[in-house]
Amino acid sequence: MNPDIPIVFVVDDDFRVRESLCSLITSRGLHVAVFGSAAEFLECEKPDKPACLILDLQLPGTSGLELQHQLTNGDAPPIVFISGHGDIPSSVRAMKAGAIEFLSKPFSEQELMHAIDNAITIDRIARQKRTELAELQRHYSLLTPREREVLPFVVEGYANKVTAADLGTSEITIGVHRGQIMRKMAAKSLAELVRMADKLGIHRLTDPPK
Amino acid sequence: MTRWYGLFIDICDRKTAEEALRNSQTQLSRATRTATVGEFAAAIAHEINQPLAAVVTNGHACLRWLSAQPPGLAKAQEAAERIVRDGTEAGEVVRRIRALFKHAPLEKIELDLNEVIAEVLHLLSGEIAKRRVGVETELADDLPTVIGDRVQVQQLVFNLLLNGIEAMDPILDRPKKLSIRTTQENPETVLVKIQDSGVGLEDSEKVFEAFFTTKGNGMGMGLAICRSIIDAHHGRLWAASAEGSGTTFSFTLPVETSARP
Repeated sequence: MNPDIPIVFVVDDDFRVRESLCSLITSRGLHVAVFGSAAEFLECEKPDKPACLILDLQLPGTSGLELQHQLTNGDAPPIVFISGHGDIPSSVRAMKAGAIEFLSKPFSEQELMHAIDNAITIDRIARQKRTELAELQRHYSLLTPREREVLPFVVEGYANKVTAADLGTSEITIGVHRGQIMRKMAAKSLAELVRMADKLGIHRLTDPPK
Repeated sequence: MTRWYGLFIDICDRKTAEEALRNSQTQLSRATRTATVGEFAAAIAHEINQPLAAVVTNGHACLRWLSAQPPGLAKAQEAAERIVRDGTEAGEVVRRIRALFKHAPLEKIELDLNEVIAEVLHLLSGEIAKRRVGVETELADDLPTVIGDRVQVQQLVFNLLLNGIEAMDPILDRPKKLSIRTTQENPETVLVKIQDSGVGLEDSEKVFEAFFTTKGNGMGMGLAICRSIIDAHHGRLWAASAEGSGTTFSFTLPVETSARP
């Protein structure tokens, strides 16, 4: 499977809807995987590529809204809801919970493809962010415990002298730690290091030096 | 059926009592049928919508495959075949709805009540999910077939299930539970019990009267229709209500005997 071609997951209990969506989405050059229930979808191993999920609201067993709820944490693909009832309270709930689009059956190709394109773009951005964060975390894992202790001082702009006094060591040692931090984090400037610390959620100093 | 006689006597005064009775039955049947046909059709609309959605999507897919370079003729043909199949099915659903409106004579055939219940549950699945009702079924494996008109028996089951579901609308403090059981009552009859966990009934006989309703937006027709259907099928229909355990509607239909050895 070409990793650059996005995949569209379809969960609908009606085989006719699955077949037709499978054909239409394939004709547009995307990959498709179809499932008859929420459980089948959850069991399947997802390929590592941009994706979106077309989800029927009324499913036997776990409903579409319940599945959406289960998928809120983690790196689940963006959801486009489809429904044969078009009931307004459900569509409001689905959209509030972060669905990209809510389409009433029957829907046009244009509506569907527009929703899919949007969803996949959103997923691409989210995946990009996750990759960056994973890379940052990998860099951060290279730091020694002492370097991790020094990092908050650096990003909050304390001079080596102040940090050294607070941690009870010499200014030169802090200078060395600082250099190692910059190198291991692959930060080209202090400003970049500050942004990285921010993304990593490095906490501010609870007990700042005087 | 005789108790409906009074209801229409005024328009039938020129006729003999027997004619009048027969006529009142027909008219009431027509009136009551059209009253709930809206509800029934709403559920069936979903059944039409599914194949229709597939037809539209397949149509788009077919056009895409045809306009591809080179054209995906095999794929386009498959999509076109699915259009024919699903369009035919949507037409079949429509045909069934129209059969409800017209005064076709009863078409009594062998019916598997478990199958009818499964079909109606499917029709109501949207309603059941929306109102968060838990459905329990206990359908006898070796249930003999009964004789009946498929559409009418479907409507009977539909009305009783919808009635149970709606009866539980006021419940907020405990789970809504609808249980459906089928058993062979005796060699001649099959028994179906539909129990809700609602508030129960005050008068378990009055509910079957036309225009009697406890629901704010009800027409009071659903259960009256059920009784007219049951009467036409030589079955029995009754309700029982017990404190704290909701209402149980039970009906029997005669077992189909000719096929038995």
